[in-house]
Parts: sequence; C-alpha cells; structure tokens
Amino acid sequence: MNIVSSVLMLGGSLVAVLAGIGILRFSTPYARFHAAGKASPVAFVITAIGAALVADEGAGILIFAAIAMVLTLPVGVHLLFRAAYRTTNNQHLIVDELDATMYES
Amino acid sequence: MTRSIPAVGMVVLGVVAWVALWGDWSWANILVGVVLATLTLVMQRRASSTEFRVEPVSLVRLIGVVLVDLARSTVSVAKEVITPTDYTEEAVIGIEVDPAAMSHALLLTVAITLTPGTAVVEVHPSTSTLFLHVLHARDRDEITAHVHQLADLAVAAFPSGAHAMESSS
Repeated sequence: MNIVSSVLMLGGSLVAVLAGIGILRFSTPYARFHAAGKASPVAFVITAIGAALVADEGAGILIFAAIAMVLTLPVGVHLLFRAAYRTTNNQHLIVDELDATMYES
Repeated sequence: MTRSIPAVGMVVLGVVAWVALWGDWSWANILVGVVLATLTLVMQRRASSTEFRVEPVSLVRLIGVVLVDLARSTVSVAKEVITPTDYTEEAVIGIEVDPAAMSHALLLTVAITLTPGTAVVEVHPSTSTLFLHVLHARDRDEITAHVHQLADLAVAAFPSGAHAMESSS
C-alpha cells in the first residue's frame, strides 16, 4: 500500500510540474489556461488518492476536496477564458465563430 | 429506471458530506449537518418546483466518460508540453446542442472544460450554442461528436432538467 500511494503522490506531483512548465512554455493565454486548468485538478486528484491511502485520518476530507476541485475548477477556467476572450485580440485564432455572433444577442 | 431521490436521501447525503468534511462523527457535526442539509434542500425546492430526478445508469456513464476525458486531457496536454514542436492551432468554434441540454449548461461546461484541449468560452442559451476554444482545430468533427454525446448523457442522467427549464421560463 505504501508503494502504491508513493507512486500516486509522485505521479501527481509530476503532472503538476508538467502543468507548471506548460504555463511557461505556451505562448498564448488560452493555451496556458489549458495547461493550468486541466492538469492541475488531475494532479490534485492523483495526489489526494495517494495521500488518502496512507492517511490515518482526514482521508474523507481529501476525497471531498478532490471532488470539489474537479467540479468547481472548470467553472473558474471557463470564466478566465471568457474574460480573456473579451479583453485580448484574438488574431492567432485560425477560426473564430464567436466574434461574428458576439454582439447579436 | 428513472429514480427520484426522496428528500430524506438528499438530507442524508448532505449530512454525510458535511461530517466527512469535518472528519469527525460527533453529535454536534451531525446536528449542524442535518440543519444545513434541510435548509439547502428547502432553498433548492423553492427555486425549482420539479423534483430532482436521477437516471443512475446514464449518470455512471457520464461520470465514466468524464473520467476518461480527464486522463486523456492530461496526457494530451503533457505531450504538448514535452514535445518541442508546437502543434497547436487554436480556434473558437460554435457547436449547437439539443435545446433540452441547455438546462444542463453548467454540467456541460464543467464536463467540456475537462475534456482534452477544449474549454467553453461563451454560452448562448437563445440559440443553444456553446462556443468552445479548442487547441487543435483539426479535431473539430471529433470534438463536436463528443460534445453531443456529453449533452445527450447529461439530459439522460438528469431528466427533470428540461421540465424545470420550461416551468421557469
């Protein structure tokens, strides 16, 4: 059980590191949100499962925190996308179907 | 196979969640949990007149699809981070979904934003169109099919949503 939880926690940390590198390496705000917003809940969930396996107490809290993270973080990421779309120029987008309909409704 | 969760079940779920968060089965925690869960339920019932219905098989399938998405999104973003070449071709595309699915817009937004390389930028309820930012515009057909699958599963898993929408609008 110890090995499994160690592997999970290390794996989760690795994903978090990759997400961090992604934030630095990607050049557009959107790509950075993708790196930050997708990899980090996964990193948290994997690490939390690993920690919950060996924790004497608080395993329930970890699992609930993981569920709450998966359910709420995408909402924040969506708002970041929405805010970024309205405040930056979007010339690097190869297709932009929202632009045309933006001010219609 | 549709099941409507009885009020007692909802309260019990709420109490279990509350106690798990405190990590201690004390009477004080349980009591406060019962009060909070009941309050939440009353407020929810006031907000929408319909019962909260769940279709368990579709819900499990929806969760399964989202979990697979999570794993795939991690791998695909990790690949994009590690490989030196930038394969991204960003685009914002509009995807029209079944109008019934618009009452599950929040659920859809969460599920889609967890999917590899896609995120919801804007939702237009009047035209039931979701505008997605995608990292790889060449996968457009695949993404559209995936969103439709998520929308169908969301409607199937929580069938009362459509009625709630009709009665409130």
